[in-house]
Amino acid sequence: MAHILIVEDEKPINDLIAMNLELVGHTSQQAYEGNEALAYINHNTYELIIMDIMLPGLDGFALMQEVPENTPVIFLTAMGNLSDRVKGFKLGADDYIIKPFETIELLARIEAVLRRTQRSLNIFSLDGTVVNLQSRVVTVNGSDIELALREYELLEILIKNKNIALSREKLLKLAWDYDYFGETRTVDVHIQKLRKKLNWENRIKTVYKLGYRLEVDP
Amino acid sequence: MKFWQKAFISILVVFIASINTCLYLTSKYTFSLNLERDTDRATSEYHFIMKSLNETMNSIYYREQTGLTPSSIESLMRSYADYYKKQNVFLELKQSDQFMFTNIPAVVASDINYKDLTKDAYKTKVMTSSGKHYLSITGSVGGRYEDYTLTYVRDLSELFQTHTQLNRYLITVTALVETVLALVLLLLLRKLTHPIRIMQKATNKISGGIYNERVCLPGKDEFHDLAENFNQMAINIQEKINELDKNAQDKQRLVDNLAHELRTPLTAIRGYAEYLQNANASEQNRIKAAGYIISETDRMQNLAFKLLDLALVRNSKVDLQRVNPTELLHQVKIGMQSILRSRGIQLEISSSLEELTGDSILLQSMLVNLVDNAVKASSKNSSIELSAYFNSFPILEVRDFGCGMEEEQTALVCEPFYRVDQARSRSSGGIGLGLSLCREIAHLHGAELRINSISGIGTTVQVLFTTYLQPPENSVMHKEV
Repeated sequence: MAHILIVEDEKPINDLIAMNLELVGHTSQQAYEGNEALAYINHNTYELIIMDIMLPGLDGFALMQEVPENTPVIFLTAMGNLSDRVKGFKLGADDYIIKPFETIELLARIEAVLRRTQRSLNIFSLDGTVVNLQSRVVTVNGSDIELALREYELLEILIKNKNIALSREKLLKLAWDYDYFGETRTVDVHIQKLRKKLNWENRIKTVYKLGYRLEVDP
Repeated sequence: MKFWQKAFISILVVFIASINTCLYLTSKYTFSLNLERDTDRATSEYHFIMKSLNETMNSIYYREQTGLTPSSIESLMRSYADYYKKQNVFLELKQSDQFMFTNIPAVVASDINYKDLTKDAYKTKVMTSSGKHYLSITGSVGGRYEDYTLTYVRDLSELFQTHTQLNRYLITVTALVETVLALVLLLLLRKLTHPIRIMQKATNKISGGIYNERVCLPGKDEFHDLAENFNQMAINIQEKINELDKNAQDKQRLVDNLAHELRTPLTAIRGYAEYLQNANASEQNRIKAAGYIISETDRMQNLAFKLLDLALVRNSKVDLQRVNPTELLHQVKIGMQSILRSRGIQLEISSSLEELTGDSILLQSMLVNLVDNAVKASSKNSSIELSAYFNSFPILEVRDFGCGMEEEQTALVCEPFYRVDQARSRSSGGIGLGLSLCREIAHLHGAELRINSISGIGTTVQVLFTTYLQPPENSVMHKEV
């Protein structure tokens, strides 16, 4: 669980990010304007800042100079040309996402940055099941559970995108790392195994016509 | 081959040909005149010799009463021959086919033609022998001595030598004159074609894309006129190109902006739709997400309609009618009432204009847009002045006392999608097409949109009806202007 500052002047986009972060278990602070964001940065510490570049008041590049060195920053902007991207990275951004973006991609990148900066939540526990994301050890009520490699990767993806339904195709792509449409029975089989092994029959929900979702109480 | 080279060669060829032809003909004519003169002289000499020979022979014949002996004839001829030899004249006397006397050089003698001689006739002939020219006259002595034939041969070397000398002189002079002519012609042509080379350089540069190049040619000749026209052409091209560049840039900016304007709501709509589809979300969040989808769709709809308005206004004709300005301003105020009240802004209207010609719906739409902008720029509880008055032209004016703009922003505000706030914040609403629309409406009325703004003090937008569309009592400009 990370505390993230969102700096974005478009309220709909800002709320969208905040709502999605909330889903996967992060908390967020929303800022809509450069100077407002600066005040937040100066008075609080954040594990990550997601920042637009074109902001009223103080723009993202200027704001970047004020960010403490150990706070990772992801630029989220419509300014997609190469010179802007290079400038963003030169200023020390950890990632640069161009609008329009997909929610899954945004979350994956946030996760990647958090993992790199080692601020990501390494232990995930639910209903007596504990998953150590660093050592890849899974225990249910204290006893170790043997998981196949694919099963573990599927589990990790479900945890990272908790409360978000993922289609079978998406799961296949993320866990098996290939685009394969049609033969998605493999996913169903692995999900069944996970449900059984972790006692998560009610947690991994089948979403009608869509896929699966790991449901966690907020 | 270059023009000056062509001109040089053709003029030179014509000159040389005509000079040489003239001189050749002159020399030839002179020679023939001289030859004729010599022939005349020789003929008269020949006749003189023949006559005196005839007389002498007659007198000898009567005195001696005997026939002429060859020795007496020879001694007689000798005396003549000796006398004329000094003048390069040779004589020969023949009786029938027998030589009585001759001192003609052997080389010539063989060429003399004795045939076809008739009584009292003589024959003149120019002969060439081993490089020397001779004139021979052959004829019968006549009278009693018809069977005697006298031949007169004159050496013409002197004449031919003079002719050759003259020719040589003429050739030398011609060669010299022609060389000088060629040089003078060369310099003259180079100088005359100098403007062409200057023009050529300039045109080369311009065709290479350097449109600010100009030709500078002093003088008052055709080249100067040509250069002037050419410069004018270059100026026009430069203007056109700049205009095209600007248009292309404007279009590019419009497309870029439009893409940005579409991208933001689309990102939001898609994001919220995904959220609704996938997320295990609370009822409250679902309502929020759906609300955003609706509001962002509205925004896109608004954008589409405004763009359509802009396109329609650009392509439509105005429905001109007489408009009462006071009424127009009142209608605007009524239309804006709710917004004004919610922000606590006072709209003060004043009209000293009697009449205005225009499309009342479009004018109202324009004023509503302008007042709307003024409201956005104004702080709460301030006031906005909306007035119609006459100052050289009929003027509609919206003045606010809000945040104002920088000068460079003022220049750009009429661009589609331009927002004074660099971040394009929609906190104050709007999509950035209002002023573009206003400008189009003003143009349709032949009016000019003038924006004066001072940062921190306020903005004044004036619509100046500068053209003939207005009733004459309102305009200082005449109808035909």
